[in-house]
Parts: sequence; structure tokens; C-alpha cells
Amino acid sequence: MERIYFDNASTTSLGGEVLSAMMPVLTDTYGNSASVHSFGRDAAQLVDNSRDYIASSINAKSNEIYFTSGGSEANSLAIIGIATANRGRGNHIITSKIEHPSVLNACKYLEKSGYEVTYLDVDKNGFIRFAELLGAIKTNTILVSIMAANNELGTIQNLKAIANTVHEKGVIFHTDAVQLYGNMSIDVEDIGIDAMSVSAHKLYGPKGVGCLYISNKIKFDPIIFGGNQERNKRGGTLNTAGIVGFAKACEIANRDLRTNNHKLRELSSYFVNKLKESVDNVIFNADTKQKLPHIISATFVGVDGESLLTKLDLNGIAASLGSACTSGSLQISHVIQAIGINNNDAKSTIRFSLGKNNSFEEIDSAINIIKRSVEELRAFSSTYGAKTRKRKGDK
Amino acid sequence: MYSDIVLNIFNNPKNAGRISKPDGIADFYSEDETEHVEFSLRVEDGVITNCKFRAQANPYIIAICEKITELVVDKNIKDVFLDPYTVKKALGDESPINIQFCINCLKFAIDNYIDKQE
Repeated sequence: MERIYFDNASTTSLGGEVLSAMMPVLTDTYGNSASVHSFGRDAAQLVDNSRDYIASSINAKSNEIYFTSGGSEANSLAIIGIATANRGRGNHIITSKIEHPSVLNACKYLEKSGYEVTYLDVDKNGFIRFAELLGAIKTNTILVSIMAANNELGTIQNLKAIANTVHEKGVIFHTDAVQLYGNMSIDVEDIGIDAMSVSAHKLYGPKGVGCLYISNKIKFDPIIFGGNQERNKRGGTLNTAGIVGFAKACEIANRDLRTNNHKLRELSSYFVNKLKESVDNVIFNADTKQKLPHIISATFVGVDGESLLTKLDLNGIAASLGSACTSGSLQISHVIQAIGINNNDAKSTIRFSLGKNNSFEEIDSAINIIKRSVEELRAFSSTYGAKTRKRKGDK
Repeated sequence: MYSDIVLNIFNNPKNAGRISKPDGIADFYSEDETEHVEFSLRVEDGVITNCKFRAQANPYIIAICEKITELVVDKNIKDVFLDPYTVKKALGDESPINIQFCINCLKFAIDNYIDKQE
């Protein structure tokens, strides 16, 4: 059976050039980058080179990059680390309702320790409202964390405008750029980003490595304690091979940015048009041009999303219900709920996220399978085209 | 995530659909309104001779509905007694997913038949 992968927002495959860059590190450069001997110095040199490259790619300084185990750790470090180090200035944090669970749960953790958190609503396309953001900033606000591009909708926030608004009030601005980095060039100086999370495995790099950019002007505490790695801000032996792979993946993403973006736009447009032609009553969420084109959120009216995903999976197609973290817990996506979709339609919503390795032929095959699967499920759907009574309950 | 038994039934449900001019019918939402099921019945001399279901629900609930339709056929409506344990055991998969609303829906379909007789 042909297998087709449309879940690139969950994770991407490891690039061939990335693997080639990592292999000699895994086999030969096994020294601990914190060790003083030559084995360690060799590893440290590779880490330094990687740090230099990643920093330059976002117009940051090398000593503003802190390697982590991925995006979730980078988000946790940013939120908790900045909040605790700046406790003397205030205890109020602002974020949005459509953030990644690593941001939302870090905020919930802080709420238990006496911090106050405001969760901003978003509009039907997933954009925060500036008036609401401005109104939420108080004298005790220390941090605003708004994701750059949403993982379920693809919506790209107006980062520069948010940064300006936040800085006018003297507040720190963090953004989770896990989905955006590698798909768009980001200049942290120009935009005005104080802290930014990035993960390697979203851009054809290895899993288990990412980084937090944090401006030298910003105070933050560590959340993982160990030796004096990462200038005492993140304990633990560095994942040298992963970091080298991460930097290589960044280099390739930036080198091929224009080509990949063009291909992803073409593929996504083809996918959406074919789906519109083939299947009735599909609603495309976040219908805006200011989004990552390869993330497609679609509501199939009258169809249970989990059943559709299962049918697709049985036919070799990988998509997802929401973010991978949400799918695993079988909960309705908080992102889809936040854009105003009711529970029933939210459960009919699935995400296709295309990647640079997908082809038009794969889309043709997939659309036929999606069409057939939707028809099969709608054939015995109790809600599709039917008037249902609101009788409910488990007792 | 789902067992092979659940996936096989989900992918090939034999009793999916609605009986034309049913003797009893009901539909029901789960408590959180994310799953919806419907049962329709053919009853002859007080015995359920056919039972079909429709659903907008996850694969497990679809398999449960199929199993309920199998369990009630040839039963006198007075003898139909289903509980979640019995149905899950018949499915051979004891997932913690709440299925009480499916059983309630079948009861309402039987009540609908009884109401029509009175």
C-alpha cells in the first residue's frame, strides 16, 4: 500500500544532507562539549559553529542562543525562566488561547505559584485583537507570549505590530516560532522579538533538539539545573550531533526558502482546489492569505474527524486531528474551539500539513481516498443532512 | 489506538443505516455533544427482528453500535437488558470510553415503539 504523509506540522522526515552532517559526529566526535580535552574541544567547536550559524540566521548574537531538547522545553524555559527572573517587576503574563500546550501548561503552572495569566481570545481566523492585547497590559505585566504561526491553522500573527505594542508598555515579548522558522525569514532585531522558540524536527532536522533565542537584555532563570552548560542557563550535556543536524537543517531551510515556499504554495493550492471539487460541504478554517499555506484545517460536515482519520490511516494516509499532543489525549482541539467552532464541528475538523517532499500525484491519490472515506462515513452519518434532537446524556 | 476487532467492525459495519418506516427510532448525543447515534427498529409480535444504527462518532462508538444491533436482534423487547460491561465484553475490547449514551439511545428507540403501541 502506498503511504502518503500529510502530517508535516507534527514532524518532518530527516533530510538526507542533515543525516550526512550528523553521521560523523555520532561516530567520531563523541567527546563531551564541556570537556577540556581535545575530544571535548572538537565537539565544542561543532556546537559553536552551529550556534553561530543559527544566531546569524535570525540576526541574533551567538551568546543569545540556548540549545534545548526542542520547542516544548524552549517554551517552558522562556515562560517560566522569564517570569521567575522578573518577579520583582510584576506577576502578570499575557498569552493567547491558541498557544501550544507547552506554553499554556507553563502558564498554568505559574498560576499555581501566584502569577496571574490573561488568555487572549482570537478572531475566526486565529488572529489576536490588538485592542484586546493593549487593554490587557497592566502595570504588573512582565511578559507577553504569542505564537508566530499557529500549528493547527497556520495563521501568522502580525509579530512586528505585537512587538511594538508590547514594547511601548515596557513588557517582554516571547514568540513560539516552532512552525514559522524555516518557512519564513525572521529578523529578531527588526521585528523586536525578545525571546523566540525554535525546534529542529519541524524543518527536516532531528528530533530532540531546538533552541531558545533570548536577547542579552532580558533576565531569565534556568529551569533545568546541572553543570555550567549554556552559560549556566540550561544544565545537561549538549546533544552535539543533534545540534549539528539542527544547524544543517536551518542552513538548508534558508538556502531553499524561496523554492520550498513556491512548491508548498502550489501543492497546497492544488490540494484545496481538488478537495473543493471532489467533496461537498467542507469548510476551510483560517481562510486568510496571512498564513502558512501548507497547514490546511478542514471541517467535513457530518463526519467524525477521528473516524475519518482512522479510515485515511487504514488507506495509508497520515493526517491529524489537531496538534499531535491534542490528538493523543482525544480531546477537542482548544485551537478549533477558540476560533468559534462548536464542539460537533470541531470534532469534524482535521489538519493536513503538506511538506516539500509531497507530490501532485500523491495529492491526486489522497483526494480519491478522502472522497471515498467521507462518502462512506456520510452514508450512515446520523447528523449529515438530518435534523437531530438535542437529547443527550450518560445517565 | 484501536484494537483490530474494533477496526474491522468500524471498517465493515453490517447494520449501518436506517430501517425504512421503522417501528421504533431514537437518536442521542453524548454528554459533551461530540458523538451522536441513532437506532431504528423493526419489531414483530414484540420481538426485534431488525436493528440498524447511524452515527457521527469515533470508530469505537461505531463498533459498539454495531455490536448493540447484533445483541438485540431476536430478543423480545421485554427481555432487552444491556449494560456497558455486556456490550464491551461482546466487542472483546474493554476500553474506558463511556458508551452509556448508546445504550440509552437504544432504550429510547424501544420506548418509541412502546409509545406508538399505546
